[in-house]
Amino acid sequence: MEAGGDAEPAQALLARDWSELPLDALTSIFTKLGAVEVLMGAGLVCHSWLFAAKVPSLWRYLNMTKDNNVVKEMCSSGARDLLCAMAKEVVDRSSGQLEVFIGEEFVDDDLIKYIGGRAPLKILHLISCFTVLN
Amino acid sequence: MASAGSGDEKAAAAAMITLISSDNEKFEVTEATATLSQTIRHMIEDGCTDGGVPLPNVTSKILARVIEYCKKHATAAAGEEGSSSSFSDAAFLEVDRAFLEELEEFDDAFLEVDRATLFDLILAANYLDIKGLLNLTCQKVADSVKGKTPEQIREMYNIVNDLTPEEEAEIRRETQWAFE
Repeated sequence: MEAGGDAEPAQALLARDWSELPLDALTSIFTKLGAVEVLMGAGLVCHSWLFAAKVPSLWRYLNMTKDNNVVKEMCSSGARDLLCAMAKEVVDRSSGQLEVFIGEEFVDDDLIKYIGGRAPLKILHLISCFTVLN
Repeated sequence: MASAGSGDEKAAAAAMITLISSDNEKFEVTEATATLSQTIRHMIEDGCTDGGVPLPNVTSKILARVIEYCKKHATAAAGEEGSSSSFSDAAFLEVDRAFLEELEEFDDAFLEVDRATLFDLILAANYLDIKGLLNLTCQKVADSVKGKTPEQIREMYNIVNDLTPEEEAEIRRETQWAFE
């Protein structure tokens, strides 16, 4: 099934407009990247990618453990406030659809309260969050 | 379809579908291969594939690649089903593992394409609704942007920053972790 496409360099080299990726594709890419990556990088690239990063159904599952290098670095550099702010941003973007939250080390009472008031979590998993008292 | 059976029986049972690319090239494929596409599966169920299935959004170059992917994955799926009855569990697991490894190697090699082709494959997978192919191609994009700043990603994929001043301001306000 060889499509004899040897002589079409112009067509092949024509740049594609990656801002025009379909929403389903962007959703798939963002799901694979995870929250922190989307919030800090891919989700801020352009108008359409930002739009895709704000679709509530993307934010049913939030995993912020130290398996993620950025979370790990921010935990050890004392940037826990930023991690809490990111988690709150995700809660807002989910429009009440967040179901699972897994957090490691940075989570505090304030964040738990914030989530509790806005999302009907089915699973809450905290690892080494020693400042959570209630 | 009856389980196992001889190769002849299988070949006879395999209905053929003709796919027609945007540049009018015709590709004959088995129904098993074609139905990895949910879009085509629905067309077959609705009985509107006589005379071929025109795919005006897919060029022959990309369609050939998509078919290559579907053929491989359809064969693997059929192989797994067929072999379960004729092997002991242990042997089956062995065969299964070999299949998966081969499939993984195929997928890796399949993804060795330039950015424009990758983009076209994503569009085709999305339009034809081929879940596995969409997953595979999107994983490649995800891997490539991991750990990158927005500006690095724009450079990499030639994307113009078309965020409106309002969006920029909103991002600055809401997301103090970006733009470090």
